[in-house]
Amino acid sequence: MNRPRRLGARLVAPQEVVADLAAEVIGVAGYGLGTPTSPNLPSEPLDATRWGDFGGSMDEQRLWGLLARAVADGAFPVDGTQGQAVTEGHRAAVAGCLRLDRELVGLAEAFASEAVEFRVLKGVGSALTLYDDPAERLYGDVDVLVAGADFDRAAAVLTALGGARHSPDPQPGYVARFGKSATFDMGGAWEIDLHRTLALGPFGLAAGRHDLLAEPARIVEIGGRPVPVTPPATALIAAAFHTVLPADSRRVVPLRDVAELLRPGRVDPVRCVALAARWQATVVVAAAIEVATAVFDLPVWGPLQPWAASYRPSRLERTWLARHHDDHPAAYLLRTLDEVRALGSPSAGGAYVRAMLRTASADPEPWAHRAGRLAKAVRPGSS
Amino acid sequence: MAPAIEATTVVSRRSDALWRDTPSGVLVLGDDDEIICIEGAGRLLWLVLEQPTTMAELSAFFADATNDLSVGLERGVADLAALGLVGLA
Repeated sequence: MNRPRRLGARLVAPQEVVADLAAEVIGVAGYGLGTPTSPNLPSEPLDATRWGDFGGSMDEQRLWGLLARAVADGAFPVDGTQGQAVTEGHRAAVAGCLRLDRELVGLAEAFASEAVEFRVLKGVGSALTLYDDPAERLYGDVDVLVAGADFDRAAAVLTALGGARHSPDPQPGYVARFGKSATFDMGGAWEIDLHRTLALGPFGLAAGRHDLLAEPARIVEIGGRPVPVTPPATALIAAAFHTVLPADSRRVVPLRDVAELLRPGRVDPVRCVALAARWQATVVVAAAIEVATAVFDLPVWGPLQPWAASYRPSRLERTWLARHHDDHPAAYLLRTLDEVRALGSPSAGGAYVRAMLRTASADPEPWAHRAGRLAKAVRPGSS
Repeated sequence: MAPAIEATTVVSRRSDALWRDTPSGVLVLGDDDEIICIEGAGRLLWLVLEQPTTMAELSAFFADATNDLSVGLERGVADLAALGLVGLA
């Protein structure tokens, strides 16, 4: 498997973000940035074996849109069958996005009627504000961000709309204060991730202590209705979290979002750095910028890239970042202690610990995994 | 019954349409959850309708453009109207 040509970053290894992705997949992910990622694109149609894997990656990484553009531009050679597959794959993915947009319009109206302030994270917000053509940016669910104080009201709105919460709140108000998000299944057809912060772990808890809706919303029109989406500086920070600290399987699209936000004039660098500092997310943002610059071979588009390249993380930041990527059980225990510290005060940390213990005693089943990992952590030699 | 299409008829893209422009055509989400694909010259017509436009203006535009809609503009507009994707006034 060919690897990208240049991978240099100090804070997070780019391989952590683009692990196992073939060079041509990264080439597609970077297509249209006007950078030298095109050497990663093939010079002739892929053979049947590679095409099979490649098509799977296009589905999984939601890259049919950028591939369709590369094919239309003649930058990614395909044979007739492959060209048809690109058209069909892209159309199917766009159809899914349009149906999600329709549901989002209904959700926005429901939130408005209950005076729940929100921002659309990623997804259609990125598509409509960052990409040359919105059809290039594909998505598979709806992510919205609300303030912790509004979280339970927002959850009630989703339930009233027919949403079934995947995991119930372990205790009333827990996710609103300490959690990252809750996922709602909307009739088996689509899902909403309702966020109150941007990541799990200490970085997410530290950020969640602050007003993540502080930057005035950017308003886009979807189906004739104004919908608030994350404004540029917040969008860059959110994309950085998604890139560096993903909650589930890694996707390269958030990294492309970071690259799009680095284009000249997109983000006010002073505002972005100030927000990141306030939310204790500076190292996350710097790492994402470094990785995007390295993976896509970006030119220096603005001051954020030299800032990221010269950023010297504190010991605490290095520790939190390293532990996030460390699967050893001991790291898990230490990460839990980091979470307590991230809450910023003994009273908040104490409340967090008490909430965890109450939850574990009331209903240990959902916490069996966590308890098992903690048990491993305190039993040396277990693995 | 659909109104007659005349030079003064104003053609407006449906304001609540959910759509994307792709290299293979414009995809629009229809009321029945079906995806409508507008290809070729129809795609160009859809894109031109970013603002409400009279048939006279459309005729002038497509007369200047080298495409096959110059001879079938009225039919193209009528087709989009029949699908509920544009309004005529």
